Amino acid sequence: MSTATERGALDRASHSSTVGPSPSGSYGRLIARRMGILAVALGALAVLSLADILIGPAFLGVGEVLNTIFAPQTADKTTQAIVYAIRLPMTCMAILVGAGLGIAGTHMQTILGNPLASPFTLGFSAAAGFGAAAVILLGVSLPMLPHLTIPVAAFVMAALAAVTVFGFSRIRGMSAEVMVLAGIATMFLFQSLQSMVQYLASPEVLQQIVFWLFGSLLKANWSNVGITAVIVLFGAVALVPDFWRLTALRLGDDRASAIGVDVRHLRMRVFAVVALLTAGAVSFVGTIGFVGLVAPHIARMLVGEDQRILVPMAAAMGAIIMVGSSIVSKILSPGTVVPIGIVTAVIGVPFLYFLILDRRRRLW
Amino acid sequence: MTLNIQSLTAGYGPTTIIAGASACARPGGLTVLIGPNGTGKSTFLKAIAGLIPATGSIALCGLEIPQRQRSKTVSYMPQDVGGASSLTVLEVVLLGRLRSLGLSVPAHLPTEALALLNRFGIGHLESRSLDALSGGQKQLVFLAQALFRDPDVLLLDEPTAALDLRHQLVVLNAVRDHARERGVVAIAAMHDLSLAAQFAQEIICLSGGTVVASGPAGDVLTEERLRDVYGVEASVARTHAGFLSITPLRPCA
Repeated sequence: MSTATERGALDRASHSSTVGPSPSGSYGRLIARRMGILAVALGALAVLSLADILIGPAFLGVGEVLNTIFAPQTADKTTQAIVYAIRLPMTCMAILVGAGLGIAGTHMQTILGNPLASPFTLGFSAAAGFGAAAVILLGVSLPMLPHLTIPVAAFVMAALAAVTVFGFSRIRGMSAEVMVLAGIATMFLFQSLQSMVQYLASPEVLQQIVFWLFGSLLKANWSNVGITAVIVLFGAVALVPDFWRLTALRLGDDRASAIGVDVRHLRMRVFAVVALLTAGAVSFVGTIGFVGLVAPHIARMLVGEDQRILVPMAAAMGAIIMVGSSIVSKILSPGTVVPIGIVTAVIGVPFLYFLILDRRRRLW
Repeated sequence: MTLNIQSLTAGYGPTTIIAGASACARPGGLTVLIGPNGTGKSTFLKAIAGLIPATGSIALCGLEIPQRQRSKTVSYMPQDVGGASSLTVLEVVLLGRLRSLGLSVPAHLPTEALALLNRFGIGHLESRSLDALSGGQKQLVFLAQALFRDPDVLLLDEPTAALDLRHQLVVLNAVRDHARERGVVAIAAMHDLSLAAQFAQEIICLSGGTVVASGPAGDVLTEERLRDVYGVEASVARTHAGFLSITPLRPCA
């Protein structure tokens, strides 16, 4: 039996009736252009990150902050504490959470074949919110790690939501339609439970719950930045071997299957990684809406659907929206920091409007 | 490298669509699968491709191909040309060699993919988004993708359905030439019986989920069989060029 790999395909090329432009050059230029856009996005992220570190309620001078970052021994202890214990962890957390939600949103839209899909679609975020609200209401804490009680509760409930959706979907063959239906049902369930907890809470406890649900980078510290970094890095690389299969899935289940993609198992793998990424991203900072929905769309409009470039681009766009929102949240009300979850849509929507109006670009 | 299909049974859930169908398809030419709507042509092809659960035996050169390994040797092109994607035409064709694609794309693959697109006269569309194409152009792109896989068995579900007359000939010539040059088995489901008769080395006629006839066009496409299978009175004549021409006259009473 002859096999595909044994046959050179160049002889087929000799049958070409016409000769087009230099093919590898054309494809190479397309990839180079996309990589250039990604590089610009990463450059913009670097500039915004620096701006985010420079801006804050303490009104430190630019030279003072830069001096503290690059020569910490020469800075006074208060400035060191502000820069190293507050601003740098907040910026790092903004980058990580934005990147995580951007990646999760991209994969979610791909496996569900739905432009409205985001990490929130399947109820993971609502479940995390319920977990956090429940432990705040009950006033319980972990014996050895009281500061991790809320993140752990949020993570566990998000994981429970993921297992619930996964269970229902698996029974019906992991089809996109069943996943969306089971996810939306789970989302409504946990939103109702969240409302129930808020209804039962005293005004003081309710204030704490609402503050968590807003989403805030003020909860960031080096320990939870480290944990989030491990989760986001794992989520970012875990699906790298599946990038071309995910690209093929954009042609639809039938066509992907026809070229050798095991669609069912691919969905299961991606689902597990997205659940982990979402739970990891929201556990420490609370509910951050919109980023996971819009970052993939912006990235797709800029670099197309080749997941090798789309996924890093979505991570960069998610991080840009988060860091940009962090900057705005500090400028909006001088001397205080507005919860970032309130600001993310304000930052992302104008950019999305601009891209929607740009007729050269395709939306979905 | 004959493809032998023995007692193939397949369906969806509790519904059996193909019931114990047996047939064989020889390499080096086009085998056309015909039959009325709803008779199971797509299911038959999907079952051979291993895309749906099926029982029975699929063997190439006398060697059984397990269902899990079919995607390595069998290339299936679905009927539907829908699907929303802004992938470029060249990227869609490249996906045909999914197993060869990694973080970097081997430099020779885009060259080969473009050569194939040029063969169908659509090389100039290489950078065009799939969504910007007409149904016929998409059909040609997906056919190029199926051929780019360089399979041992090529299964095409109504490959000319969305094409104009010229492109019907372009596509069927390309498939027939490919089968001849590569010595592969090519099976295409079709509704146009005259076109089928013109290009088929053999025809398999499916009705009620089973194979009711197979062989050269002249043996399979008879007025009596068309009456039995399609429920129509039809005239079967030979043209000056020597091809069979089938003209449906009226539904049977």
